[in-house]
Amino acid sequence: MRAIVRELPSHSSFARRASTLSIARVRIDRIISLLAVGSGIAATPADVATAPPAPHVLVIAPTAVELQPWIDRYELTASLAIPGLSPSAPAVLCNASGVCAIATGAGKANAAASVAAIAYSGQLDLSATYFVIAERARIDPSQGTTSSAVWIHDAVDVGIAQEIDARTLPAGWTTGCLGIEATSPTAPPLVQFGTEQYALDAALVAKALSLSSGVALEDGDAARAYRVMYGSGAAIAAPSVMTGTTASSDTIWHGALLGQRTHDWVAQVAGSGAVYTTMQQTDNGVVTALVAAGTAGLLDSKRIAVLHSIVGFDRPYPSQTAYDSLLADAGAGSASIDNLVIAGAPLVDDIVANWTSWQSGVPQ
Amino acid sequence: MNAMKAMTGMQRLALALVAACSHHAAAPSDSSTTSPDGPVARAIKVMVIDMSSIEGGRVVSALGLPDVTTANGVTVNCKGDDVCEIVTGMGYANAASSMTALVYSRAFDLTKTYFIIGGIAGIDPEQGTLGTAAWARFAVDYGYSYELDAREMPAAWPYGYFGIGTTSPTAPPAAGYRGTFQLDEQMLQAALHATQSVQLEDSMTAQTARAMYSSAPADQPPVVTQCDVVSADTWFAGSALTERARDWMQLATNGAGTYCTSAQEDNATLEVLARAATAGKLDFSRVSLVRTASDFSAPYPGQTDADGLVGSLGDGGLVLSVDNLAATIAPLVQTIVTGWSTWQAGVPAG
Repeated sequence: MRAIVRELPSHSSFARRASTLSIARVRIDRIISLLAVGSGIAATPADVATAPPAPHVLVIAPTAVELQPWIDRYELTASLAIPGLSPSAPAVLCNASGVCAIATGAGKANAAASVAAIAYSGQLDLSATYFVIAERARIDPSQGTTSSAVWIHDAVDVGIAQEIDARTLPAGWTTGCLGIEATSPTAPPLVQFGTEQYALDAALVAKALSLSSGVALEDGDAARAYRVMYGSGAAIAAPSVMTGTTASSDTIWHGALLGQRTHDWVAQVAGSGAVYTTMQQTDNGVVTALVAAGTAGLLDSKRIAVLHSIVGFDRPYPSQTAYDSLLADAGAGSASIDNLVIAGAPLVDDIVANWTSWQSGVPQ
Repeated sequence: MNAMKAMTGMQRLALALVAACSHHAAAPSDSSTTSPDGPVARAIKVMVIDMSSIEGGRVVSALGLPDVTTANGVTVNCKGDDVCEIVTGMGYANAASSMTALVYSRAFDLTKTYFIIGGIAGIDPEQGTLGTAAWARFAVDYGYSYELDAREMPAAWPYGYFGIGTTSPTAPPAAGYRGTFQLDEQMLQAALHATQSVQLEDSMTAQTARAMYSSAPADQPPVVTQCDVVSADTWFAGSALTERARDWMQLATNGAGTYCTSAQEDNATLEVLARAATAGKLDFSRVSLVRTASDFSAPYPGQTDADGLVGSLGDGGLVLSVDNLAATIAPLVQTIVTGWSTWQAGVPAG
């Protein structure tokens, strides 16, 4: 069953969407039965009552702004309220083709709480579901540029650290950040939380990249004019679909010095082959919750794809201050919302259209 | 002198490492028993929430919790249906993930449960000392923030942190910030009342370390007190970042809160509990939060930030904080369980 694809010219307001949801809620029984059909569950009336719907794809967005393009594209008009979701987005939204999406709320705590609430709710059968974490992120200008789309192969939590103010560094320290119970910024941490680093399934990353590498990404005059200020390198190249390593942290750090620290720390945690590329506030929270639910037997945590749509840079251009850069509009706000679906839809569509191939794992 | 106190610093650290990793051991499923009508949920009187197994191990032995069960993959230690304890794992992601697994598990009925969040923490030397036990009224999120390296921040800023959606460190949190929780005042007062006369442990090592501060309360013996907690995955230390904690606590509570302890999980744990309360799974007014100090978050006069941070392991605070965590939680647990005929309807008045 292929998703009905529909382009909407603009994003509806939250209020309008909320009213749509309340209308849609009365249709949920019907949608559940359709989902059951789509997932191969025999949809007799008795089964509809007992078997939870089994989405093929669950898109996980941090905010309502990042959720909206999926609602528009996939006509996610069915609403399934699940206890424990974010108060600002209390329902899973689905269509009849097995595509569902949520907004978790920003930051690792919200992200983990929402995803875990779904996993343990018993209201969805996630045993074969593919999870697509899709969000806006900032990028290291030496690795890429705004309006790009980045499929993530490694996620490192750079927030799990100790820190002192960087004006008080001992001789030999280049940053105030160091590992937990470490003795210097280059020493290994002595305590592990277990959530510091996740390597995502290489076959899924490769498949997502190959399916999306030919898409025409949105860009804009303002983004083009802004990136030129960086002067040289990847920052001034045309936007592209690429892969990379991401750094997660609740703290939105900014600037060349913290950027260098992140680059160095990511390589130390994930290995020298992992080159820090993007930063965001969510991924290690979502993945931690999914891995725990996978260990509890509720889902397959190998089926996680992470897509970042680049809205800005993580540090200033030459002559710009870090402060001005952090608060600047890099011109890619609208394009980065559109590109979530432009880059993500080829994977979602392929999973839905070829479910018989995908249901047992990533097709060769 | 108990066994833990006889260990060297490195032995204690090794124990902490083993303990910290052990919670990741896989547990298969929800082990609730079933009846012909479906699972029988156990109605729990008290649930203690620890973050690491070094905290949990001491609390479990103090409370005597022999039954090990699993709920949605997380391990819970219980004594009958009276008292249970969970170790969530450290940091926001583990805390939110494990707590969500717990509160939506069908193994437990938590609608009347008292939740005691208890862990070790850094402490502001202006508010306490090694081994201090502080019950929180406010829990504020420190890590959900913007940050510039202090060497790249605007001139005259006191530190590089400022609220997301704001433009300077003096601005209060922007609209939509969910990083401030206030705990129930009646519950807080009951917790203080039940624990204020607890005789906390002290040690020669801690006395030596705290003497360097030469002013109260940092150089005094530890006591049970009330002051407030900030949380972040990033364990900050030093004068400037401690100043930021004091300022941010004030900004995020309209001046009502006083920063004293720094933790790495509480806002994640409280977010899950608040959501679950909204969902009708539990009563948020039955949540209390105590942090015991394992290290100072700011150096003593003349000490560098880096020495204060890296040297804290040798101060003897880790053992004290774990012992005093258990010592402080136990009487509140006892008060609730023995007074259950009263407490089951809510925190007794006055």
